[in-house]
Amino acid sequence: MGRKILLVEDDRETADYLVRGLGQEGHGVELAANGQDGLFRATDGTFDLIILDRMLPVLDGISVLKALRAANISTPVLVLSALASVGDRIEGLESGSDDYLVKPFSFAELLARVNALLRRREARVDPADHRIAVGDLEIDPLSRIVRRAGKKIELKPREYLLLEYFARNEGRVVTRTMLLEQVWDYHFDPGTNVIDVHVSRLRRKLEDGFEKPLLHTVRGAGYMLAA
Amino acid sequence: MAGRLPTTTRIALLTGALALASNVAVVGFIHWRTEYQLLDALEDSLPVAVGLSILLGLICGGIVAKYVGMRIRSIVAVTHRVGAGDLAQRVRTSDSRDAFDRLGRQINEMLERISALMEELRMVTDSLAHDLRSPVGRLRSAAQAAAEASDPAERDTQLASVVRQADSLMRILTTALEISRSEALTSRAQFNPFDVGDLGAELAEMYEPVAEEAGATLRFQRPTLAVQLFGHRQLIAQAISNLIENAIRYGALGGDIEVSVSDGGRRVAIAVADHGPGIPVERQAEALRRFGRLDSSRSEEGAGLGLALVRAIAHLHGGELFLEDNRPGLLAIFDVPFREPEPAAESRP
Repeated sequence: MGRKILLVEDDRETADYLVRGLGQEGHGVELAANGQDGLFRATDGTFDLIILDRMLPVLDGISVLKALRAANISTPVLVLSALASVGDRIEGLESGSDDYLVKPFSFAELLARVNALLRRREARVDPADHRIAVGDLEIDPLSRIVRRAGKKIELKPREYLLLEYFARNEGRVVTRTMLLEQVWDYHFDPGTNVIDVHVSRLRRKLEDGFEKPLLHTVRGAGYMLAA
Repeated sequence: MAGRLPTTTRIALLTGALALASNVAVVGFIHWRTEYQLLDALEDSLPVAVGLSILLGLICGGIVAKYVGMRIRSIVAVTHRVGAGDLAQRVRTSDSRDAFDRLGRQINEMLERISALMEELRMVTDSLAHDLRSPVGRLRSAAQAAAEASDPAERDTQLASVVRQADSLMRILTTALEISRSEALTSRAQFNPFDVGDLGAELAEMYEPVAEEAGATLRFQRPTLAVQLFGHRQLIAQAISNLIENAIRYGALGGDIEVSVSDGGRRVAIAVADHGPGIPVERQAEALRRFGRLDSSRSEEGAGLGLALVRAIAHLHGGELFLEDNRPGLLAIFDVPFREPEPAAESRP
């Protein structure tokens, strides 16, 4: 199921790489090489997602984003930027973007974020309190009770949030940075394997005593919850 | 210029003395001509008085102008040489307090500060260039090994190592950037009030399983009351997590790691203590310096920047990072004063 993505990026090499990669994933990508052109196309066409470079000729990314939001265009926006400090990331997120990715990034990281944003748009019709089921795993976001094959699984509050995030992105790769940003709300790069330790704890609770694995490691990318 | 009195005062005194002397001369002249009538005496003495005044004025003015010119020329000469690139030049000053000495001292202070900044900049560039050599070297050899590998599995391992080395390089650069950002105080626009006790508890909970895997127990002691701090929550989170990661990395063998947040009235102290080998007092300054690293084998993680970043974040909040001997182990205290939220005028556009 291909989607329409607008890519606003002035760097030829990055743009080619992304157009090719996203194209292979089945998405239709339209390219704008400067901010003004990007803004024009974004207001004109209908896109499922906009990938916006922060430093652009003519009109910078943040101004494009502000103009879009001021014009009531709520298409999800993923900002790409070489500005890597924590302050820059916060500024990028607070200016109305849905996600912020620092250059250089791996394609796996970008794809995971693109998929999560597309998914979020799609899932918007579901009420948040709807029960989530992944195979024989059942999650009730209201009572925060988790059962697998009818058996209740005790989770700590943060473990629950981690699982709920995985479940809302069922069948899609979730990267370590996404977990750190979305589940813990931290925007710096920890020097240790802190995320891996939490995921493997959660995995033990979900999988101990069951035959079928649920939480998979995706090499070079991150993790995925799938039945 | 060895006298006790400032030179300008001495010139003023000299002028005063000469003026007094001229008055005495005029009065003496009048006295000498007392047989004449008073009016005549005054009439006769007037040109003498005027002449003397003009003469004295010219002499004193000349002295002052020459002196002022000399002092200004010496300052100008110094600024010229500094402008040409010799930052070691200083304006000569005496221990007096006249305007020229004050100006000279101000200029010297400014030059000291510029020299210190230049020296720091030079050191940072040097160490950055030096520190990047080994990760770049590792990156290069991994890339070369991948290019030469005939076995696909071997090639994949080497390529994964290329990516890892590139990430580690990026981390060093991002941290170096974060330090200079914090020192430039630009992130103050993103200050917000938040509860430090909650943040500490959250981070302790986050790192507790990591400590456990490393064979240590992480304990958290929170203050009895809420501690509202006005600051950069993300950066303080990064600072605390750097300290905890350091404690786990170097002090886990010592067993317990204690994290505490304490409210000291006008200040808040976040302390992370381990019972590992610690850092000897004489090497603590080195550990705090940017790129100062105690053990070059740790270079892989860019660990040399960790404490420097924590300290830069403390400075951003008007505070300080203290390292103390935990007997045994390291006690790191991130100590910041409470700040009032600034008026909205300082907020972002």
